[in-house]
Amino acid sequence: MKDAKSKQPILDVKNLKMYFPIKGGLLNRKIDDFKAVDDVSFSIQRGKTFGLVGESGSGKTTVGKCILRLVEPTSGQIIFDGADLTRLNAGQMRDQRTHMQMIYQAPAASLNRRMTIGQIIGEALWLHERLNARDRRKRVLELLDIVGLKSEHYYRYPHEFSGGQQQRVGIARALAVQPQLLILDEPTSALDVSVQAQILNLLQQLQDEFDLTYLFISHDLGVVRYMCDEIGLLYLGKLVEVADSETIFEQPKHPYTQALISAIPDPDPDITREEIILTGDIHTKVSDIGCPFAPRCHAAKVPACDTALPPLVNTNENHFVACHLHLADEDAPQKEAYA
Amino acid sequence: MAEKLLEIRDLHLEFKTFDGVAKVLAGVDLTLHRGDVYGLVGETGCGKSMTALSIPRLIPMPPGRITQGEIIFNGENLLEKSEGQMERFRAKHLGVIFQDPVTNLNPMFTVREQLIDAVIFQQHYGTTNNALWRAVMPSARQRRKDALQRAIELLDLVGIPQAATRIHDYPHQFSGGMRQRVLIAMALAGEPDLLIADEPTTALDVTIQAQILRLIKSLVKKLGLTVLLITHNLGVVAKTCEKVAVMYSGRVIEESPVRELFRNPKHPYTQGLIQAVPRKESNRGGLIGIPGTIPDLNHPPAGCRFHPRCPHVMAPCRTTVPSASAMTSAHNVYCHLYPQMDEVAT
Repeated sequence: MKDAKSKQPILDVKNLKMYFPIKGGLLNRKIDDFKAVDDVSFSIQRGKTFGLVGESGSGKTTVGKCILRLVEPTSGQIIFDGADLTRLNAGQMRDQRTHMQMIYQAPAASLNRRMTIGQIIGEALWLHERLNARDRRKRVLELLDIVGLKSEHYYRYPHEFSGGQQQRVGIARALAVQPQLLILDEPTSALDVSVQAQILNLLQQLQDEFDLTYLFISHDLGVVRYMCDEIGLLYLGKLVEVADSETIFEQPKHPYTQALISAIPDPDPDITREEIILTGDIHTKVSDIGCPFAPRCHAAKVPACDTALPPLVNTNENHFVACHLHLADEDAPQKEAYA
Repeated sequence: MAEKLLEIRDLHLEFKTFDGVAKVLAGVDLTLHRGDVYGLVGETGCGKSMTALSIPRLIPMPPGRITQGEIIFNGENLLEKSEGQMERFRAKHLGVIFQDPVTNLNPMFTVREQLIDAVIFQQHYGTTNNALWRAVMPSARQRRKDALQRAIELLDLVGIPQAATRIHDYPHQFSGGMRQRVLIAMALAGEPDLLIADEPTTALDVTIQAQILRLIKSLVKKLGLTVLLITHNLGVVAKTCEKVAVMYSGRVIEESPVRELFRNPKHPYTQGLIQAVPRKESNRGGLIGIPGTIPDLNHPPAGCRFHPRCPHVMAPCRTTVPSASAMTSAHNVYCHLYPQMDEVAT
């Protein structure tokens, strides 16, 4: 793979917050915030894949949307290739989006069913590059070839394709503007495993070929392990652990990560891992202060769990954990905060 | 060994569509013994749900039509029963849970109402209605009272904390995992012999999935249930089931004890399916998918329906439907690679 130089990351998300107002009361005023994303920071090196993992409701899709500014983040910085996206106006942002594209979960719902495949992919080329019809057609045919579709698919409509092929169309559309960063929001969760494997391999092949950077959002840890170089785990809008993929799976430190990994059903009846069964679910009530995971946590608690929010600190060689247990028990000298 | 509870023999199911007749099931054979936790795996459109829904006869006919085969439950052929007999049968012997816990509960009624209905229906359905019986039968009010008691016990059984107060809540006040527990409670109301679970954890997060699977396993032990678990997730099968059948395009193509299937898969499709799951050992680029897509059921390929995607395709595959070849006593494969030549190891 590409060498990871110490150059600056292609994407640097700093203290991203996305609060949605909760309205209520007599005058339907804002009474509280729903903290979908709360102080999330991470960075991705060029050509790498960063995995964002979490259960439903953890805020992983919202992070993706904030980066493209499809929703307006409450605060924080999103530095893409040296420029802070949150400071751009709508026109400038539109230009930036040629460098970053998103691929969605439900391939059928993200394609306009009244347009042919040629129109769907060509539209991006018209909007962003103003290519004329002949050039567009040429480029679309190239793109279809790249993603493993045939030129005869050009005049077909989305419903004529299977789920895997629809996702290929979605990928071709995203690639049309030659982006550097792709945000993949659960790209294979609607697909069967045999087709999922095809799509994952295609994504890896494209990454090598075009030097793409991926932000891979998923709830499937097996897929994330296969795809990602670095992984961040989200729980209720907060990053609880960040490390490279190998470390996360071999030495998970946060109790939530440990439970999540132990809960993946392994397709091998001989593996008898000790299973940690969590009680409750992600909506189990959280106090405003204290660790968001505390109500479900299976690990031995320290008093601080209920009273203070654990910061995300470096516990080891770039292994960041937000847990009081790892603040308390290790006397590591360097405890700098993440990013 | 345990007695046979359910036997499906050569089941053919068709649907009339605008494009012709879709042959959804083309000869399914399946045998469940009492106390089994039996997994039925396959990808979208392979007919696993259709097989399962054929057992309680929940498939609308028309457009559906069972053209051949029989479903024997405890010695009775379910396909010969009248609708009335079938209703009684469902109430007494079957419980079904579905994939989506949101759409299967009525949002307008509390869980109490819905559970009481289930309990009354399943316990009192078909009881004789003569004068003597009416004299000893509890009043409707008493019946509801008893049913409430039973409903609370059921919620307790499926692990809902504070069942006696939670039962008064509406479905939207429960989370996804809790709703699935409510549905399991509902399915268990009539003390069924067979629980059909159609993708019970697909809509749930992994941590919740682990909770529900553990619950199902504990119920099997506690109540002596037999479970038919339908899923597309091989991990769930490996963790929960003892026996498993793999389906492809309307047919069972391999059946085996779970360990045997994962250690020693014989059918090329099963092998492909197991390899396609990303896991620890698979490194970059090492994931192998199965080329192509599932066949069109209106115009299925002749012979073995997997042959257009199969890496080992031979001449007979294109013309003849393979019959079972036994690997071991419990491990059957439906593939032309095996009957003639056992030495073709893969």
